[in-house]
Amino acid sequence: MSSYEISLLGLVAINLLFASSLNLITGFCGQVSLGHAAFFGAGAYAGALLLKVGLPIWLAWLPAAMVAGLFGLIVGFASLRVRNDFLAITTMGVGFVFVGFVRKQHWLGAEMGVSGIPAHGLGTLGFALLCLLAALLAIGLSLYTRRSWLGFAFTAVADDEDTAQTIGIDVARYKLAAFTMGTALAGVAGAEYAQYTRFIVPDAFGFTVSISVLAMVIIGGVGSVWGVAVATIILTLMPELFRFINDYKLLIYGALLVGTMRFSPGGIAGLTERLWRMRSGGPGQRAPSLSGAAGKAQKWQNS
Amino acid sequence: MAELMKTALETSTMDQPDALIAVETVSVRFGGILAIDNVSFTLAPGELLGLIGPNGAGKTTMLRCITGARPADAGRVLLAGRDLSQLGVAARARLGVALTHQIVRPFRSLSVLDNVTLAVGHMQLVTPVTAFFNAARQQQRARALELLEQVGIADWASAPAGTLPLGALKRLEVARALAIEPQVLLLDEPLAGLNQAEAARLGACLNDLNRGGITMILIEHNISQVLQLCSRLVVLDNGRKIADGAPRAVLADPIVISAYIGREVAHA
Repeated sequence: MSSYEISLLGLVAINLLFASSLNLITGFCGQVSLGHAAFFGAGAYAGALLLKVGLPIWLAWLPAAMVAGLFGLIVGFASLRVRNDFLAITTMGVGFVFVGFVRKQHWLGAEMGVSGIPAHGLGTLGFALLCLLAALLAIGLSLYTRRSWLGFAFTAVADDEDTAQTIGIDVARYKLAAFTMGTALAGVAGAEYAQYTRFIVPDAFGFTVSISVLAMVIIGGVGSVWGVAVATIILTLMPELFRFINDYKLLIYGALLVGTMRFSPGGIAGLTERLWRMRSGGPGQRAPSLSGAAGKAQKWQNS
Repeated sequence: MAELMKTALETSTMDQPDALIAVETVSVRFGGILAIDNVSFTLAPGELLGLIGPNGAGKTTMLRCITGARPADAGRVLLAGRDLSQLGVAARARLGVALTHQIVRPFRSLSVLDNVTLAVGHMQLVTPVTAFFNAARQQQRARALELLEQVGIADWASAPAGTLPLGALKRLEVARALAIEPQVLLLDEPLAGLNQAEAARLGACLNDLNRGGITMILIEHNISQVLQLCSRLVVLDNGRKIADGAPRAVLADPIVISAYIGREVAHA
């Protein structure tokens, strides 16, 4: 592999972690976020400042996760009383507030951002593998969460908050848990991104980034761990491997979103499951590899 | 349970210290409308109380007051002597206040079995941390299957809940409510929308559960079912309690008859 390809592997790994983090909030717990880039940014700025004082990337992970997670917890608290479209608009507002705030902070470099982040000294491959390890851990965490009672409760909260309350699920706590877990992981991805580019500016964490990561989750299949991973790999590599796509990146992402909503609301995961059912004959069959995603995809198709 | 009974002994302030549920001078206001007006009644352990009244009388609002979905603006609700005023819906559910919705609300993305399994495991779900560190579900699944058998929908166990016919969904509501081991089961028109055979089956099922010791409040419009099932009736009209007593005596009460038929008769 060329150095460029290895570097791409690092970018894919960072995006895998970033998209998995949003999938915990939006996919598992049903809380739509249009401002996830803000938490990615919070982790990136925390990471950048720590990297500049000489901390290695793996030591910057935890504080970046804590900063972004705390920010997520606060936003979660503020958002407890809003649902669905209102939550989407609220989180979008948070995204704009974050960029607007950072732009005016001289200690964060204001418009010029943070530059001169030192090299990690791990080599391109070492860094890519480290990011890949973090991404695999996040995917493992997602798969475990799905199997645990936490994931079970998340599904109930995503499905019907009021009914979840009547069987004793404290919905507010679960939403906060989802927000904190998801935003903390986005913070780790942000710190990795700061190390990857070694130069960050406020605009790198704007609305377009929030929508791009949401596109990865929706096109992959909301709530499907593997579907989101596949979509993230494709959507990250596509503009890099075919440069002409890069010029039309937003247009293509947008078209894919429209296409997904129209033809396969369950995303890649939903489509795969349908094909699997057709092959194995009969609607009663479920694709075993997609057990978690199947219900969620079905719900989105029905709603 | 022991803790609850202890609290009951310590804090009981009611006329009837044995009451499992005591609704004390509860009022609920929606804007300018008084939906519940100074209503009090008690429910003894093991009782099956019918809560009846014309449309808009405040019956569902009364149940929502007990579950905490719409806390009372004045007055209070006690469970075994414990004041529930400061507790939310989930906390009340964990203490044993279970509800079946008038309009069925299954978790549509889950199977029938998982709908009930989740409720059986509600004690695993007290905090997200305990929920995270627990993954085993076999015990809860086994108990959930027993409950599905009890209400007669075990054959549907693996079906997605969204695909069930109404009759089965109504019974799923009951199974899910039973899964939290309720002290009191609040049933909001469980028989509405069912055909005669389905209503009779679910009615018999509720009767069995009540004989098994489960205390219930039942909102129901089908008077013959009410007479068959309930040991006592409370009648609401325009948010006020207008009668409370043995079913046949209550239904023969001229005030109750006029509430159902119309105001003019009441004033005649």
